[in-house]
Amino acid sequence: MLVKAVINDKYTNTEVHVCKDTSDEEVKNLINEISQMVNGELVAQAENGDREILNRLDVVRFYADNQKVAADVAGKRYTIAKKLYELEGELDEKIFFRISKSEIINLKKIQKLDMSFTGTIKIIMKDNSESYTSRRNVVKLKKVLGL
Amino acid sequence: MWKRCIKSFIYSAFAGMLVNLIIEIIVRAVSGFDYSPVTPEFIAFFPSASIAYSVDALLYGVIGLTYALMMFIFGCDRIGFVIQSIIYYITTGIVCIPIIIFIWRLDKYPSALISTIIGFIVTDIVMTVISYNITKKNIVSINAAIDNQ
Repeated sequence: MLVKAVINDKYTNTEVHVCKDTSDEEVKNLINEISQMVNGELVAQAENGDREILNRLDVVRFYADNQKVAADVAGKRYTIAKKLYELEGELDEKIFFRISKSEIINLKKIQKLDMSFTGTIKIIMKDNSESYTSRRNVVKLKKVLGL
Repeated sequence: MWKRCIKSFIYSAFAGMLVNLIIEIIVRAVSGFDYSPVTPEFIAFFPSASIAYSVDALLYGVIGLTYALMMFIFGCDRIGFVIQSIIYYITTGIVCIPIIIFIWRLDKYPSALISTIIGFIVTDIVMTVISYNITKKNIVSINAAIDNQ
C-alpha cells in the first residue's frame, strides 16, 4: 500500500484520502481506523446490530462482557471489536482509567467514590451506574488526577 | 500468576537461607559462638543438619508461595478490602503459623507460641486499620477534586 504526504498551499486543513478503484473491506477498515485515530471515534455495534460511530468522550465505561468488549453510552450498550488492552493503549490516559482487569472508565463521567464499612470501594458514575475498584487503583487514580 | 508464585517460592527460600547466613556470620564474628539457623529439636527430625537446613529453606519458600497465591483475593474488587484482608490473613495464617510452630518448635514453648500468634493478629489488624484510613483519605481527596472540576 502506497502511503504519501502531499504538501500543497491549497490544503489549509489536514486531509486524509483513501484511494482505490472499488470500495472493499480494506477501504472500509482503513477509513474506520483512520477516523477513530484522528477524530477520537469508535466504530461500535448497537444492541439491535446497527453499526454506529461513537465519540470516545461520550463513553461512560468500557468493560469485558462474555468474551467481548462493551461500551456504555447514555444508557445504551454497544459492542466494540477490540480487546480491552488495545483500547487502554489507544485511549487518552488523562481521561480514561483502568479501574480493574475488566473495566475502563471515563474520569469525566465520575460522580463520586464511596467506601463501605467493609472497604468495598464503589465508583458512582454521573448516569448513576456503579463500578468497583481496589484500594491500589484508588492510589493510581489519585496520581492520574494529579493529587 | 504462576510465574509470580514460583518466583515468590524461590525468592522466599533463598531469602530465608541468606538471612540465616548473614545472622550466622554476624553471630560468629561478634560472639564466636556456633550458630544454627534452626533449633536442635527441629534438626532432630532429620537424618542430618544439612537436610534440616534445606527443609527449613523450603518451608520459607512455602510461606512465600502462600502469600503470593493468596494475593489474588485483593483482585476481587466486589469484596471489601477489610473482608479481603481477613480472608488473606486467615488463609496465610493457617499455612504459615503451623510452619513457624514446626520450624521454631513453638509447641514446646506455649508463651512464645501465644505471643507469636498475638503478634501476627495485631500486626494484621494494625495494617488493615492503617490501609482503611489511608484509603478513606484518598477517596475524600479524589471526591474533592471531582467536585472542583
